[in-house]
Amino acid sequence: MQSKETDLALITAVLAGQTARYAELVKRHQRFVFTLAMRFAKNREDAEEIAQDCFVKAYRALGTFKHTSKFTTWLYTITYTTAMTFLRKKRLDTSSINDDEQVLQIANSGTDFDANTVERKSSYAYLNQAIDMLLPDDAAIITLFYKGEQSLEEIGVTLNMEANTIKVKLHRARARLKDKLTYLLKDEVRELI
Amino acid sequence: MNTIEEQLWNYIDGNCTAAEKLEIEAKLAVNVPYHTLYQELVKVNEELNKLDFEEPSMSFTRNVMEKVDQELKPVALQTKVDNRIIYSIAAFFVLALTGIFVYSIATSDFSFKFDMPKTSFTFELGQYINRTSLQIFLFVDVVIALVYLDGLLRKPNHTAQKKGE
Repeated sequence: MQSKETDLALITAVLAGQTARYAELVKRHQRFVFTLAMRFAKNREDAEEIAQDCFVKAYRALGTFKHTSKFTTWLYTITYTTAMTFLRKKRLDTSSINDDEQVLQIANSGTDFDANTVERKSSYAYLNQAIDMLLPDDAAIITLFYKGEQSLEEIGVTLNMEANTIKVKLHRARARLKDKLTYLLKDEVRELI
Repeated sequence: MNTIEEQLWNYIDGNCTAAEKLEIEAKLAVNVPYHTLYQELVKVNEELNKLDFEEPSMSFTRNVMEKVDQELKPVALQTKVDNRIIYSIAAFFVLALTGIFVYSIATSDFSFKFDMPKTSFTFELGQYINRTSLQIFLFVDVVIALVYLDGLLRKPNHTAQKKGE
């Protein structure tokens, strides 16, 4: 709540002419916007371009921001549309984690993903890789839900979808992630039982 | 999508009703495979909660602010569209319409006189039945008769063709 008030105070200050204070807003939200951009772009350079573009667009449209919704929801909507425009331009080939061929490549790969390497890797790194293999929308939903502190309704507004669709997509994405994580976490799960 | 998994995710997210919650808790207490699945999902949920943000480059904010400095200063929409202008336009139209209304009332003649229109209900058939209309009538009759005759003549041919099969 405090964060929301401070965001609004900063916006008011920027609109009042203190444009340098926009840097504070950027610093506050850049990590999440960049993380969200990474879910679409898959590489740091492109993600940084998307994130910067997003903040510039947000600055231009700051006067139209209605205080009826959270600033973050508004900002993430801009991030999503910017990322989608970027993807359309780049025509990136995206594929689902369910793609058998891709799973096979991961299983047989002798470099990054062989069984021994995976065991050595932290669960965080493996989880991030698993998320990267999701469809961009699904990866964005996971990120918004767990790190963006967004409700299903707010995610729906951000991605221009119904809350129920978001719920189904979230379940599906988590089911896919669970399949990938079961291998890594099976011992821990057994310990829990 | 596994329905049981969906139920458990709803339970973990706190999106189920009180009745569903009680039902799931009862199942968790007695059903071992159900409980095992629940623990797996809880573990996945914990891992997802541990997700960290990606870090952009050190110069990210500076780069954004450099681009922002080239933009026009943002202005609140409220100041862009002054309400006084909207009220002035509305007042102009209200005054204009009121003026027209008052003028029309002031210049109207309220005396009322109504004369029923005179109508004739006589129907003269003779003016419609003439040489041309009779010719048209006969021509249409001849066309209908020819179409009917054509249909009659075609029927035996169809029957013969069917028999020939």
